[in-house]
Amino acid sequence: MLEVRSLLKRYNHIPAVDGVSFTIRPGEVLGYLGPNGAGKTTTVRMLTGLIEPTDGGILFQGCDVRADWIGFQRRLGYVPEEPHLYRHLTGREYLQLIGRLRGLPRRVLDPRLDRLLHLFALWEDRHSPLASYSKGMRQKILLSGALLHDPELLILDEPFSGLDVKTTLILRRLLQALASEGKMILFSSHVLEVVEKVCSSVVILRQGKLVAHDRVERLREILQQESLEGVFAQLTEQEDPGPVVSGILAAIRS
Amino acid sequence: MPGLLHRLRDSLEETHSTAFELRRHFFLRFFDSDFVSEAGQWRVLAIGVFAILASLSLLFVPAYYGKYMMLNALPTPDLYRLAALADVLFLITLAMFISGLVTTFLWPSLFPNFQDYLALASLPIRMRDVFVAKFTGLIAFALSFIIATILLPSAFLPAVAAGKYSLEFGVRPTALFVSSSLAALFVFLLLVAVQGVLLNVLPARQFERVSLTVQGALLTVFLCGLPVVLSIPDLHESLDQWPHWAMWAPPAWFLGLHEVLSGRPDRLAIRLAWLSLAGVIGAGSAATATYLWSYRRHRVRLLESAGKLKRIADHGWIGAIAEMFIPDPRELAVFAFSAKTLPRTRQHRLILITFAALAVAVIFESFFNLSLSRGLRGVSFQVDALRKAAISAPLTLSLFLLAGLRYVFRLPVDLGANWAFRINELGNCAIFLGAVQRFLVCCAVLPVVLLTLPMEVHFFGLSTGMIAAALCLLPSLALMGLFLIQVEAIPFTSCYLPGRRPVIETLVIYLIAVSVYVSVLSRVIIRCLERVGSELALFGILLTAWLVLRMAQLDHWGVGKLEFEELPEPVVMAMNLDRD
Repeated sequence: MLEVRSLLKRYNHIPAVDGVSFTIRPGEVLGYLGPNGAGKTTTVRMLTGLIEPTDGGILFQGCDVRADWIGFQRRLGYVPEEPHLYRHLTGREYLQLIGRLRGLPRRVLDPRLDRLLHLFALWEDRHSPLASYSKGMRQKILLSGALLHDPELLILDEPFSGLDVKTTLILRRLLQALASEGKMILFSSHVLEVVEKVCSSVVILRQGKLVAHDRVERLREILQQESLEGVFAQLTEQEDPGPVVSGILAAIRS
Repeated sequence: MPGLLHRLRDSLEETHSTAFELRRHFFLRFFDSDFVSEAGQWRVLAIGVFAILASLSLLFVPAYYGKYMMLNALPTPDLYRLAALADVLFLITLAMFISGLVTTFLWPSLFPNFQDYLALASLPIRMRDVFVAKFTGLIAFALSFIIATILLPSAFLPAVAAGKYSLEFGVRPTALFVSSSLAALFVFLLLVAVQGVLLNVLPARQFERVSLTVQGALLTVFLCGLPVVLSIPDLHESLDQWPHWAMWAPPAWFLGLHEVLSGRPDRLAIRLAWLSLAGVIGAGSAATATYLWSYRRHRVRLLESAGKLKRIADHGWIGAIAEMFIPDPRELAVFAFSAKTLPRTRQHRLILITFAALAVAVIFESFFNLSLSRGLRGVSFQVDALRKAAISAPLTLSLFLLAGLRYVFRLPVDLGANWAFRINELGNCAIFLGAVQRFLVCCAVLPVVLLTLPMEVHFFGLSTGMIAAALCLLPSLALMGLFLIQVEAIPFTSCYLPGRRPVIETLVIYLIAVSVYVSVLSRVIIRCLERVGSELALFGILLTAWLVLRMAQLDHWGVGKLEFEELPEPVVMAMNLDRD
């Protein structure tokens, strides 16, 4: 189980994430939601060790991860929000790099990455540099890299970004299958329809603070909303887009 | 005057016609080459270079003034005439080399590129206008640069050469300015034409590779040629009779033009002057023709080939060999990443080529000076000096290659992607840095030893040659150790602002390094090779130095933490280091 306790991150004394706590149990897909600047990516970056929290704790299987970051990172798979990849490497070379950094020996790594390249329909383009890949192809590479070492915990930041319909369907089914195998999945996204279909529970952030953490159905019930979109709009106090649209139209005509 | 400047500035701030705006855009982009990191940094660089030239001129002016005072005092004008001729030839050739070097640095910006097409695609601009604007912007830049570089020396040389012989045999400012400017323009237009031909003849994908090779080769040729150019003033005696190959040497054409413009039109000078004019017109026509040829054709080829996925050859056997020597997958990951990154990013390759070219130029200079010391006709090398040059060669190469690799390692590639290393960094720091060491050994230390070993064996015999190679290897290893103590990052994953150090400071550091590491050390090695037993003592000292540095390096790796930046500095982002 992953437990996040009162996680705090301040930049120049301004909290980006303010006392956020939640848990992910084995077999759970947790949706991590919030408007832009709510602190989603900051949380994800703290969980992956890319930035250090100002305060708070992260416990994995009951142990503080700070006591054994290496062990924690070995069991973690990560898909970042932006498809930041070494674009001069080919798809296969990039996966080879990730696998080697994970310490996978060649006899394990090569067949595994070749199978993933086949399954994600990237085999034909495996020797092309990532610079020439489409956004969706790069996303598939990131997903393959996150899955290469069969992690216990998956942290996915906008994993559906740029994917075609077929791969989206595959990924949705894959996440459910991974969850049924007991994997823990943190799924951060703006696409509420997908979150509603994939996640068993959600965390909603607003201005760095946690405003909801419950099962999707329960939140809909409590807030008397028909969809997760309604729940999200109510909890994050989304402003009416009408005046902004009118303002833009006025600006381009001025 | 301030009012006029103010009005001019205001006028430039205004939006003008599309044609003017395009020309302004292309003209200003020429100042942002691959070797400056931010828009406007060229000014700092230019001031640095100007400061160096000004300092050098402080040494040259009195020397030249003294030289011509002496020549004017001679009873016959023969020596004055030859010296003036050699100095004019020197300035013409120097102008050609500087023009060539600058054009080589601007190589990727000579024609509209993929970025230009994409950025301007959605705007209401005809492609013909883009081409015309780029070409005129290019010519305007070349002319301004040439005039700015040549104007001052064209006034300076006739002034210091003035005297009783100057009326008849002296250097005319206008003649010198025109001939040097046309010579520089000839080289510039010729290089544009060469790239134009490559652009149109080669398939779009091959062009990138071939173009970089040509750029690297030109850079090496121009840098290696500089010692030859600098020695031209000493060749005045050879100018007494024009050699038969003068017709094939472009600097001689422009010297002929200078003589004709100075009112000394002998038959050969007229012939050479015609050749110079034909050369400029020919190069200009070729450059214009290739521009016209590439209009539309190049754009269509570039844009259409962009849709197809490029393939990179899979050299699995190299990976298999690397795996035999590097069993740890994490170490292999960093090694393979470095080995794949360096040859695939244009700026990194180019910078490393520049360092290698500088090393070759320094080596070439030492051998060339040796040949000059006994005159060009009867080449008879002094054995001792030749041996010293042979020992200096591996030291120079290792110094420049290690310094070059150190520099390019700090230039990031896709900085945002370094998360892949960061989430695997803990506990692997020493393993990752071990891979950096292996990479340096494979790319700099070992190739230099293998490349120069035959030369050492040739000059010193088999056994002494092997000892000499070993004595040159140890300083390279020690230098690598020194470099590795400071390394706290995986190559290409951290951020460094190039050009932060003033040019003059960089130059002084390299001069000191070359003097101490190359000149002093090569003398010491030569001396030790001459005395039985002392080579063993030197071997022991160098070995100890390397081992001490290695211990310090291993200690540092044990406690150190790798350096990663979240984001590149904005100025480094502007370099577009990952653009190919």
